[in-house]
Amino acid sequence: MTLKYILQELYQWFTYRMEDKKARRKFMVVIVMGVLVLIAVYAANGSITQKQSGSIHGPSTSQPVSTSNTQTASNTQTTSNQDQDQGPGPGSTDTQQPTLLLSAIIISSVMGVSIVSSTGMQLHYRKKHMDCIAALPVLYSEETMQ
Amino acid sequence: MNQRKITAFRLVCLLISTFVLTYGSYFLGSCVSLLLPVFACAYVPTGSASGVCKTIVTLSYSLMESTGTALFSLIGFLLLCILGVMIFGRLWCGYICPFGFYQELLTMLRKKLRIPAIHVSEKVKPFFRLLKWILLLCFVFGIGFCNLCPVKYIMPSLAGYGSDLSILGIIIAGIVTGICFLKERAFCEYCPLGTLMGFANKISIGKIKKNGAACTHCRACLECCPMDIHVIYEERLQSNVTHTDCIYCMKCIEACPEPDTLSFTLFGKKILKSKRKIK
Repeated sequence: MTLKYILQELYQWFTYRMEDKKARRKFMVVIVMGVLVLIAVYAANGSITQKQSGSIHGPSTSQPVSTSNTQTASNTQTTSNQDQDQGPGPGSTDTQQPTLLLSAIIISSVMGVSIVSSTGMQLHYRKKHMDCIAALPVLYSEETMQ
Repeated sequence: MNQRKITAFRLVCLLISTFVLTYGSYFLGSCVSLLLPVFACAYVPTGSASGVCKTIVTLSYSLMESTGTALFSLIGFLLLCILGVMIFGRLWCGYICPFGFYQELLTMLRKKLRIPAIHVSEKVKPFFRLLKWILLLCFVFGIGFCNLCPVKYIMPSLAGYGSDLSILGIIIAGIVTGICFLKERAFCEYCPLGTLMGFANKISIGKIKKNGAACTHCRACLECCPMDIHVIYEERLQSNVTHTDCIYCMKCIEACPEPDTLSFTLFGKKILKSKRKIK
């Protein structure tokens, strides 16, 4: 059994599966989940880097600070964070794991809330038959045209 | 311009602007500062734009604090922003806004998953309209809008700084993401910055024009409009159908099956028009 034969068989199996609509939908779900996981991992990575560089504070802890508008957002953030930063110093490796976990928890919480809210709205609209297209008002310029 | 090309062009513009405004400092350097009339949150530490929203929220404080060159540059930036808005109207929303791109991504995902969109009932629309004006007032007078703004919680998370979100942030980000998933450009309808820029739509360089006599009222324009604008469908006498909510996505022109019925003009010159669909 050559590699070429295996690849050909795999390709045939894949195209056969792709023809099926349900399989395609499942495939899309898998891709979407993969992208979301990638975003989550990236976000966790970013937050670790942020922790290591010593600028920890995010949006929830800081209020809009009025500075000159020629300054960048990053500069403003760093300046405001330097005063408030009480986290571990740069290079502390013992905080990496909890930060990763925390980021994963927060992102999954956001996703969870969004899924719950969208599913709830969808169910509500289906129950109330509100997803049907409502009749539009009579055209106000129709009589004038006649 | 070809109709398909305009959508691709718009998405490419959104992708580039989102990337630059969110991750710009990584490759442009931290000295780059852009003040654009879009929701590019100032709380994204790696962002290269602070967005004009922060300036408006803290305008009175900034004017009091700034002196000399800083005050001059602040006023200069603001005047440039106002000029930009007056020229382009809400083109910023459709082609530059990173949060708009986030919403477009959610809509694309919903369409791929074949989940139907929801339509806001006509009965509850007045309440939502009221909410829009309340949000605008809160925004202009700086009454706690920044604490409720979903962009402040979502954009830093996308940039990799989501580990410090509060419970309120998680709830707001989650609910807004859920709503934007089911309704295309849901936040744009209530965006206070967009509402402010919408006033300039009537005098901006871009206009959506309609030939009322050629319209067959197939509702194609209304069905595809992400902002639920009825004027394009209803109007028959006036040629200018540019609404204050219009973000110039051109989907109505793409969807219109009648040739030369809907068109987009720039400086009065027709650059895009509807064409007959051949199946």
